[in-house]
Amino acid sequence: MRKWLGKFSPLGWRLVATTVAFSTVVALLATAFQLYLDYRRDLGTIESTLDQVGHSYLPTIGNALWATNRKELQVALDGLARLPDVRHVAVMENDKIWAQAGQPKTQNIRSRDYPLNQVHRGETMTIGSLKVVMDMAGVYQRLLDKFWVILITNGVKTFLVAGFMLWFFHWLVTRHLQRIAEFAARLNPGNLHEQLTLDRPLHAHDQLDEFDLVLDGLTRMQSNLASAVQTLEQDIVKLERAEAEIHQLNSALEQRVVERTAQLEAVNHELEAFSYSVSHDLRTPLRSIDGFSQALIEDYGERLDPVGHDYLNRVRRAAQRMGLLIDDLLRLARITRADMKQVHVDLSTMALEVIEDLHKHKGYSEAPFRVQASLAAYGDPALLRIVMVNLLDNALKYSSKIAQPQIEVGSVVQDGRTVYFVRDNGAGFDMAYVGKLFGAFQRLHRAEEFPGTGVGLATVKRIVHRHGGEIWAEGQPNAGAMFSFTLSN
Amino acid sequence: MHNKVILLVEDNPDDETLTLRALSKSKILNEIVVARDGAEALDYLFGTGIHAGRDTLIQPQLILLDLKLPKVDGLEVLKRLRADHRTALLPVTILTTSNEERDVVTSYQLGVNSYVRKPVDSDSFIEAVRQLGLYWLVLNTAPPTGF
Repeated sequence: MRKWLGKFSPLGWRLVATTVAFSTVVALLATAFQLYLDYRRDLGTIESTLDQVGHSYLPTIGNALWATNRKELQVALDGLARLPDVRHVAVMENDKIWAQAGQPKTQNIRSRDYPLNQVHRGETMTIGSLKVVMDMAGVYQRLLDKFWVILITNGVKTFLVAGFMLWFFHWLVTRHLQRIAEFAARLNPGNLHEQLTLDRPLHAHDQLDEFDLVLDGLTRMQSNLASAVQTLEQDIVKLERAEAEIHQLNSALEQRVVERTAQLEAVNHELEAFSYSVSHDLRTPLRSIDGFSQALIEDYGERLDPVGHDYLNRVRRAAQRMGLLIDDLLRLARITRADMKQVHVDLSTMALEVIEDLHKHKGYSEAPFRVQASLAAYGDPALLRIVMVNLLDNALKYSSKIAQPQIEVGSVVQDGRTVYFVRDNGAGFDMAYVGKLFGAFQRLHRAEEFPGTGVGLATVKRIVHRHGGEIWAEGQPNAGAMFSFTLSN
Repeated sequence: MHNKVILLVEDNPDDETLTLRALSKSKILNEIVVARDGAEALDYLFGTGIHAGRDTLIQPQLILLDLKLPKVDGLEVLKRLRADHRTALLPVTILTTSNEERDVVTSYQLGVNSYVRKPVDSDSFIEAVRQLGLYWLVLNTAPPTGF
């Protein structure tokens, strides 16, 4: 029973309970009204019976009383007492019962007194009264019976209707709702194309109800979801593909980095071996050339004429120059592969130290110089020192032949960048050849004029580039030169 | 003074001649033993091979060692002689053409006493040899032999 009842939804029970309660109240009100009407009708019947008594029986009873015909009077009263609902009739004369019929009763009654008049010698005189007592018990009993009948009928009817409603509501609505709920709960991206059908009788298209709307909405929702899922799936596929591509590219890139690194390392290794070989093997014969030339001059000098001496000296100078060239070349190569350690560098102090060193070791004549205080730079101190050595060596060298040399080291800010410069007022150069200035082994002056290998500025340029900076030169023949450079920070 | 030997390890005959000339020009009259590769230098020091039977208690007062040598290179010679108690304390000067930083660093790591690069300019070279002889043979106190 409970299980069977459980089939019906709480919604059905609620609907039935509400309907039963409401219909019971309405039925009770209607019954009460009907009973009231019945009561009024019965009361009307009693009143009309009483009226009827006044019309039909009074004259007979009056005459019988006047004639003191007790027998006739009794017959009339008995007849009266047999009328429906008449309980007791009595003829009174001066409050004394003269004759009566039926049983007296004092409760649930309705009574009326009629005067009994007699016309005697043209004069109307009251000779007594008739009291008719109507019994109301019958009326009340009928009402009660009717009440019970209506109550039981209504109760049975309500119970049947409620049961039917419960079943019908289940059949019409709740079982479908349950199916829809189950279907919706089962719905997932894998079965979006499943179609929900409800076990309902076929109905015409113009008789579509709310369930058709729900089914239609559900179908539309499924198709929207399906297209959303499809879009998502496509996106995921695209994402996965992109990810795979990135992964592939990354590994290819890593592979290439590994390969390139290995190649670079190999090249670097070769370069090192080459440098080592150059520094060792190329210099050894030079030493022999110079050494034996010197030995010739020293040990066999007396057998040579001045021209022979001159030739041997030329051989020695050439050998020594080649030694310098090799050293410079090696230095240039080393700068390319040297490890950089970038720190804050006080370029002013460095410049002063370099100038002092150059004066001491290269024997340049003392030139007045001006170094801007606190020139801050960020870079590799060893490499920056090479820059300062080369630039200041050039400045001192090319201004060594003028009367009043002037060297200046400083900086200016251009376009937000700090530009460092080294300026002299020496030999200068023709701007037409400025392009050749920073090339390796490129010189704008003859070695007899100003010695040098032509590697210094190439080295400087390489260092500046390794720092992410730029270098340029401005000059004028016999009016000096200015070398300017930037560093990345 | 004459029993104080200088061991010159040098494979290049030109360099050998020039070094010997520089030594003689610097009035260094010690006996000079020349080894022409690293193996020969080790043979001399440890009394093996062609120097078998040599009294290894007598060791050179100065070794002038080239780095680039056939068979056993200079760094290996240095390592081996520093590892042997008979030669561990001998003054060794690298006299070579190269001044590659890693050679300099490795040499000092292996316990060299001095590192001199042979200049191309022979005047500078003679001066360098003269100063080396003066320093290591005259000024410097050599480690006692037999340790």
